[in-house]
Amino acid sequence: MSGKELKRQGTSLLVFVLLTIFILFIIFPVASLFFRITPEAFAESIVDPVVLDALILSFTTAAVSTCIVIVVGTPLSYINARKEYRGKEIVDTLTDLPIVLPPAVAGLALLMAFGRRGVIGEYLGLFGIQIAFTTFAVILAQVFVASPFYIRQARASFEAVDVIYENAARTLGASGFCVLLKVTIPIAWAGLVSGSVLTFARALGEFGATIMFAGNFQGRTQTMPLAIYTTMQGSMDSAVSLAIILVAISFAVILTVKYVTKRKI
Amino acid sequence: MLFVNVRKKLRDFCLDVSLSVSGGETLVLIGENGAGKSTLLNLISGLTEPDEGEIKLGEKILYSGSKNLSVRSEERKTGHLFQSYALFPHLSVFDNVAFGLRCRGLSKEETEKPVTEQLEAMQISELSSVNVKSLSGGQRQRVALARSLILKPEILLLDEPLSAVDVRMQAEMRCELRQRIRDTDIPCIIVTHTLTDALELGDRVAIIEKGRIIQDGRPEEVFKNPVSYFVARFTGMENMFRGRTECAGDEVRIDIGPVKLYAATELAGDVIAGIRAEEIILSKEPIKTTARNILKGRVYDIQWNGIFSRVVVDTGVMISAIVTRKSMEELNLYTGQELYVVFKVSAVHTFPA
Repeated sequence: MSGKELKRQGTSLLVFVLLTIFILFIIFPVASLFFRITPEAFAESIVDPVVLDALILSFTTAAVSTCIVIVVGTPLSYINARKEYRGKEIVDTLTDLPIVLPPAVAGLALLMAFGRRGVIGEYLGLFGIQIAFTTFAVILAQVFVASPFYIRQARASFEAVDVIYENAARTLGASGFCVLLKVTIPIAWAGLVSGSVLTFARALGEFGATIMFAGNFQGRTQTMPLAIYTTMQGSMDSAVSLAIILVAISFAVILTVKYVTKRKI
Repeated sequence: MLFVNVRKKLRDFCLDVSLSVSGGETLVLIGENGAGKSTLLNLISGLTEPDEGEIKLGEKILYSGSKNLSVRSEERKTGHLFQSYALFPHLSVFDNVAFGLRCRGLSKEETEKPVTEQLEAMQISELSSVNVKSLSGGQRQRVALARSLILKPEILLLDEPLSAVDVRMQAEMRCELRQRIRDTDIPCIIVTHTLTDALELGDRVAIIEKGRIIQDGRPEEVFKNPVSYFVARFTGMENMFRGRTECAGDEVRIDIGPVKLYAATELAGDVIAGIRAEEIILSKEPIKTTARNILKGRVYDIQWNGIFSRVVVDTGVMISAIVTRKSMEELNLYTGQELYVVFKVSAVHTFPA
């Protein structure tokens, strides 16, 4: 065997070992969750009011947040994909900021703005409006941290739609809004769906900003990640059950994104 | 009658075009890539705004710079076919054709009949539910045309309508396209790269170079009297040489290096001389003739090609001549043979260098 071939085999072996270690490092902790609980205990804790409340709250808030992000983010990302305007770079940077901002910082920032003594919150308080430590705060926190996932993806998908389709639609008599609705969005559909799914997943997993800005009240602001943190101190079964549900959702998200982006419209 | 007189600053030059096309007439636009052909179509269909000028369709003003008026693209009623056809990839053939009607707020039931009829007229009924991605070039062209024609456009703009069609199908599709354009009886502008398209589809040909129309006329006129090197190349002139004019008594000669050509030209200085391969006579003997240009050379290459063959003669410069098979047999040509190349003064076309 020549030296060169030996070297190549050595490299592939090294890569193989590293990959195996890494994959085990991911799989092992996740799998441990399933070993830690019996199906009976899982069924029992899932009807526990704490768990049930967290489940319902998480799904409703994440769904509402995702809707808000889609409604606001779609026109924004379309404009950024198609139009040139002054300050576009700044808008782009700002919409991306929450991705790199630590969630705890985001939570504190939201509190400083909308909290009882916050810059805006103080005035809202005069009208009897309180945002911090309500379900609405949960939604705001989720929108704040999760919006970049949709906006980035949507912008890229809109950019990938050839302008020629829009031009063709216009010469066929479609107004600007009609073009967006009947041509651009349908062609960009796969990207928009995967962006929304990612946003939903990120909103569902939101912890840091929520606990700082919305607090940890069962049935009102205690979402699944917060409930895991709380129940862990008492009943490990409830925490693990919630974790398993989140693992299942995560898998579903990855598979959906993979399926949607692979399938051509 | 479509009337266009517009100016638009582009990156490298200014598009400055004035043209008119009457109902039922087809104008073929020819030009190199980036000469402004597609931009001109976009200006007419309203996808791009001119800097100034006027676009009128009959009495209706589509654009007027002085009146600050511009009808929106979606209200211009232009049938604009894009180079790649731009069929909507997310819709079936039927839905593509129905698109325009649905944009006008027609219900599903109302679009059903006209779309079905249009598909039948185009002989693509059986493709109705097929996704447009699986269509061939010719089928795509039909769908794109159906999608435009169903809206009864008042102008037809076709950007390279045959470039995406399979080579074997092009002649057939060209013929079909010509018939369909004739049937519409509206002004039609076609952008193309190929000579056959221009000759077969066009009632008139306009050559556009760097944003300006440099020649405009019937296809055979343009073919006979090209005004520039580019047009000459486009019309298939093969023998083109750079040279300088010089006076020889009351005659003009063009010095192209190894040889000099007698020509009748008003140009002076650096020119390009061109001779059509079919206007050249080959002779074994130095014949007495009224033709002023007689060059001695050797056969360099013979390309057999059916009825007509191409003979390349090295006279110091390479000159191609088209010869019929009969003449080939009579002359008994072979490579390396000594030979005379003969052509008239009027066969030498000259263009500014």
